[in-house]
Amino acid sequence: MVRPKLRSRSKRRKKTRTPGNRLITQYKKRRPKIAKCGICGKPLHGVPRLKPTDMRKLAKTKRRPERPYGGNLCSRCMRELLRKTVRDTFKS
Amino acid sequence: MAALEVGRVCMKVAGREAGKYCVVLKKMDNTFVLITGPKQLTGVKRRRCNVEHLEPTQYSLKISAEAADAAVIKAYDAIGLTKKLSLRLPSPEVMKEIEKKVKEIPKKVEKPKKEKKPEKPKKEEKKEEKPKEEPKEEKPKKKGITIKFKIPTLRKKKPKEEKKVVKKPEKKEVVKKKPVKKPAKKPAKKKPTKKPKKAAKKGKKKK
Repeated sequence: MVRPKLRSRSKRRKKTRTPGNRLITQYKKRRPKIAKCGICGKPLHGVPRLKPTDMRKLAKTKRRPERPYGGNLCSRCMRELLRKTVRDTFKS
Repeated sequence: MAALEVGRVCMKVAGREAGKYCVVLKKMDNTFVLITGPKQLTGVKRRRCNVEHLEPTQYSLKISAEAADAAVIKAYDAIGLTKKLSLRLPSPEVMKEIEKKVKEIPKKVEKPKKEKKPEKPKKEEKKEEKPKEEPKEEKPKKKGITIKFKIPTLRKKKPKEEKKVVKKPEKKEVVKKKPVKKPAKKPAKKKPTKKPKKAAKKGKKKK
């Protein structure tokens, strides 16, 4: 029987074969969901789907695209936002 | 909004320089424009840029086409745009370096244009006009031709000389050695390869 802590379905179960030729199930944490744009909700490119502990091990440049709002907004929404700010600030 | 003329201050909207200001220096095509920050002021380096990646502002600087970076910085300051856009003027030490580069920059801008466009015609011209352009022709010759010839000549000459004197006796020795070694090695290899496999299978079954 498994430890009661691991009996929940919120864990990811992975079957692996051991060197002694046995099948066992390993219990792991699920990966987080795909990062999405804050405005339009499209999945973002260039943001790896890793647990926060693994994200820390990456270089900062590999965690998100290197532009303003990189990793939060998609490129198209970011462009529209910048265009809006330019048009609004320099109107008067 | 106003069109992208020379001296128009824009914001870059795409890429890693997005959100930074720049100035149009020259119109290249319908799609491309030469821009600069300058890099010391805003962080946008002197480069070609697609028009769709720019958002023009209402401000424009009084600049000649393809102006140097130092002149552009002064033009920013003359209108008082550095305060409005909250830009930091580079330190006087940096400004001196930029002003020194004024003479170098126009050369740098011209060189890539000449190289990119006339490369294909130049190859034809080089063959015809050999005496006229001596320095340009010597470089490719050294890179391409001399290296190619040196290596084969060295390889060909040395072995020829050695073969006559030394290598004939060597060949006979090599032929004799080979048949002796091969039978000795083959059985030695086969035996150890079989043993560990059997041992591994047995070990798995037992466990």
